[in-house]
Amino acid sequence: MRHKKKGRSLNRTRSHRNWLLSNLITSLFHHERIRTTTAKAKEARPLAEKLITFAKRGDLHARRRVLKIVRDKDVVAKLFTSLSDRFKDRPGGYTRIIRMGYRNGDNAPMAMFELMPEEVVKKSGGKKRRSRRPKKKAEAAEQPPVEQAAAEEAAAEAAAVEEAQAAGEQAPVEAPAAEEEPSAGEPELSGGEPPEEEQKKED
Amino acid sequence: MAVPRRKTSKSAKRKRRTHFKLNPKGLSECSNCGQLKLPHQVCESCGQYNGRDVLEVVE
Repeated sequence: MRHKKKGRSLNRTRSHRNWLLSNLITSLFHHERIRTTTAKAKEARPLAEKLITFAKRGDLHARRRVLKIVRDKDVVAKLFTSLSDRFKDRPGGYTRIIRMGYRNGDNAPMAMFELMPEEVVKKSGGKKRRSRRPKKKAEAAEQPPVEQAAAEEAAAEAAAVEEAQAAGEQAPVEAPAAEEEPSAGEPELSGGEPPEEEQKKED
Repeated sequence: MAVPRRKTSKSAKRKRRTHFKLNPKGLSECSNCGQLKLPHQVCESCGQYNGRDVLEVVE
């Protein structure tokens, strides 16, 4: 039974593992973004976030407790000044793990383990996500009429091309696709265009 | 010591190996550049994940 057996062993003894995590976290606070295996990142994450919480508390006792793990005074100083200030208003979730394929050699799953950047970047990411969802709905709604009436579709395509060219700077990837499709004249391919039209109306 | 009584015939060997095959990878399209990529992973061609730049693409 695995009662009270939390966490990964990472094929190391306890002391080896503690040093590994300590080194990983020191590097993370120093470089802000490190590349490691997914398992190590997941194991280091809770500990790293607890240390940031200590840093936000900011008193001497908190600093000594952090120094037990991060044994580099310069890094701890950075943690207690710039990093604790950066995460002042963030209620947890200070780090991010993004999977990035498999390592050559042993095929280990690798990940980018990073501290969350400043607020500005986060907001722009949120906006992009919001605009993407209505687009999918529009795609689903627009498809049936396009397949029924070929004449309407041709007109719509021409309109879409004009709009796409006008807005070529906004959507550099989508615009060339829109220009190609009228010449091909295949109704199935044109499924991707109406949402584009829809998107421009929103803009 | 226990030993096989009979040599495995070509037929038996080949029948056993009918289940020995590779499966295609489950790929998805990158929402930014449209290239095929592994799901839940950074796109290797444009270096983006969830609309954010994660990696710098080395040409």
